[in-house]
Formats: sequence, C-alpha cells, structure tokens
Amino acid sequence: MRKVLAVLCTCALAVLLIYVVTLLPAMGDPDNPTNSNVVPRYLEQGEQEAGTRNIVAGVVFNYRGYDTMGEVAIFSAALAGIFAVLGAGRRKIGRAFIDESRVKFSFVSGTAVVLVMPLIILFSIYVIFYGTDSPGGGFQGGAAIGAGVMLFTAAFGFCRAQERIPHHVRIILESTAIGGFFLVGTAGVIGGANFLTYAIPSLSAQSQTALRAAMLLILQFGIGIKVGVICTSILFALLREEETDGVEHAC
Amino acid sequence: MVWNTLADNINYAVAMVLFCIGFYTLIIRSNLIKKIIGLMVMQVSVFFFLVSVGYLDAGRAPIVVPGEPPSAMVNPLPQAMILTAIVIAVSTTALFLSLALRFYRHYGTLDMDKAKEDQR
Repeated sequence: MRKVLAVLCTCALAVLLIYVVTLLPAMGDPDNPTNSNVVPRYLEQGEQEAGTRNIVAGVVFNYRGYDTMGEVAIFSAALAGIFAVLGAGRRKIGRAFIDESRVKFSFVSGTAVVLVMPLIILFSIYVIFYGTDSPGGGFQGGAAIGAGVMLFTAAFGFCRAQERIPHHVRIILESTAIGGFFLVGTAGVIGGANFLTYAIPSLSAQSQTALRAAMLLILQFGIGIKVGVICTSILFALLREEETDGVEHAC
Repeated sequence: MVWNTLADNINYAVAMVLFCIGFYTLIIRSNLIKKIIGLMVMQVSVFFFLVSVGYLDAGRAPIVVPGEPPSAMVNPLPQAMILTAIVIAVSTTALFLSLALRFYRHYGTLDMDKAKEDQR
C-alpha cells in the first residue's frame, strides 16, 4: 500500500517536472534570460572590478562575497553540530574503526601513499594560489587537501593521522581562517564601498585592481585552509568510536 | 514539438528524473543511510540542473583571455553557486551521517520501522 502510494506520488512529481522542462527555453541559447541579465557585466568588467581573470572566483569572492561568508559560516555550524551530536568530550578515548580492520594495509600501498602525499599537497597549493588566473581556487584546493588527509588516514589509521594534525592546531586554523575572511571583507568597507569590494577613492583605478587581486589571494588561501581543515575535522569526528568493551585506547 | 523541446533540454530532463529517483528513495526506504543516499541524489540533480542552465553553445570557460570576446564565455554565476554548494553539501551530509550514527547507538538499528516497533 505504502509502496503504491510512493510510486504514484513520484510519478505525479515526475510528470509535473518533465512538463515544466518542455516549457523552458532551449539549453545553450545565448538569448536565454539566465545569460542576458547581470552576467554580461560580470564577463566584461569582472577582470577590472574583481581583480581576477577567473570570473568564477570573482563572483564567489567579490560580487557575492556575502554569500560566501555565509556559506563558510554554515560550514563551521555543520562542524559544530557534528561535535555536538557525536560528543566532543570523548575526544581523548577515540579509537578508529579502520585500526581494527582485519586486512592491514600492505607495505606497497603504504609506501605509495607516502610518495603521493607531497604531490597532493603541492597540487592543492598550486590550485589555491593559481586560482586567480586559471580554473581553481580555495574550495577546490581545500577539498584536495581533505582528500589527501583521507588517503593518509585510510593507509595509516586514525591515531597516526591525528598525531600529524592535532585538534588544537585545527581549532586555531579554522578560527583564523573565518576571522581573517571577515576582517578582510570588512576592510573593503573602509573606503565607503560594499563588503569585500575595496573601493578606495584616493587610489587610482589600476592600484585598486591590484589591491583587489592581493586581497583575493589572501581570501583564497584562507578558504583553502578552512575547507581542508574542516574536511579533516569531519573525518576525524566521524571516525571516533565510542568505547564498547570498556578498554580505553588513548591515541 | 514537445519531443523536440525535450531532446534540446535533455540535461534538464535527466536532472528531473534523477530528482524523482532520489525522492522515491527518500520516501520508500526505512534505512536511514539509504534515505541519506536518496537525499544526496536529489542534491546532485539540483547541481546538475543549475550547471546546465549556465551552459552556452560553443562557449568557453569563464577565464578572461585578452583578445577573445567576453560574450563567448559560459555563465559563471551557476558555477560559482554550485562550487560553494558542493562543499556545503559535503558538510551537511556529514551532519546527517553523524545523526544516523547517534540513532544507531541509541536504537541498535538503522531501520526506522524496526526502531518504532522496538519502542512499543
């Protein structure tokens, strides 16, 4: 009964959505309303107004900087929620499920991870810092750092990974990143312009663009650190297992 | 006529079908992990739809190259939105998973129906 009802509901939704698709304008048409309202300004003046050749980074960090700050705050709020739900107090007696697995990582895979890790970190730093001129940026580079830490954790276990990036270091990095984002954004208001826009009337247009580019680099770096550290924190928080057999394993 | 429009907008149609698959999984499964998977499929379908909206026929990546016309670049706005939304989706999914972990510790099962029976 429940299944029939679910199938009917889903079919009704599908028919409605597909009907809406038939009313939408053709995909890829340059005259679409999505491509013709505010977007030409981004594309034509983005390099000058946002100080970057990568228009996507310009939209994220300059035109819609408020949104990005809110998203960073959501990120921190989700991490705080995970700690609240899973209990941050039991941090000390953590034990990774991976460490208990029967299949140990072989010598070959351990060595491969050790060899690949520096390259992953190097690549993510490249993506973060080159994001102002090419595809890339803080979010992507930070995700690469997080993936590297996950690889390391999968190979060597939770305890050894946590030794490398202890909890107090992660707290400092996270708070510095979000505080720095807010401070740099507020510094853009000083000249009387909007958040993150850095319009200082006494400077020439060229030096304003250079200032924006420099600020964007700082923001990218902060976001990269932030995303990488939060991915790591989420992984460690989820790996932490409650003691069931009464034996306390201190990492 | 309708079929021509659908063939032009095949990306939108696939996104809608993915959304319905995710929705069906969300409402029919009683296992919390499967519900979360359904929710993630719905999220991905929305990302797919929004990125498709920004597509431009024969468009370039939105990186300014001197000498090239800016009108040939694809719409950067959906890309910027989805870029941040993917990262947000990761963190909210982790929050869902931690809630599911908590549920498992309390009830000893991930199945919502079983947990409801045990309570009676």
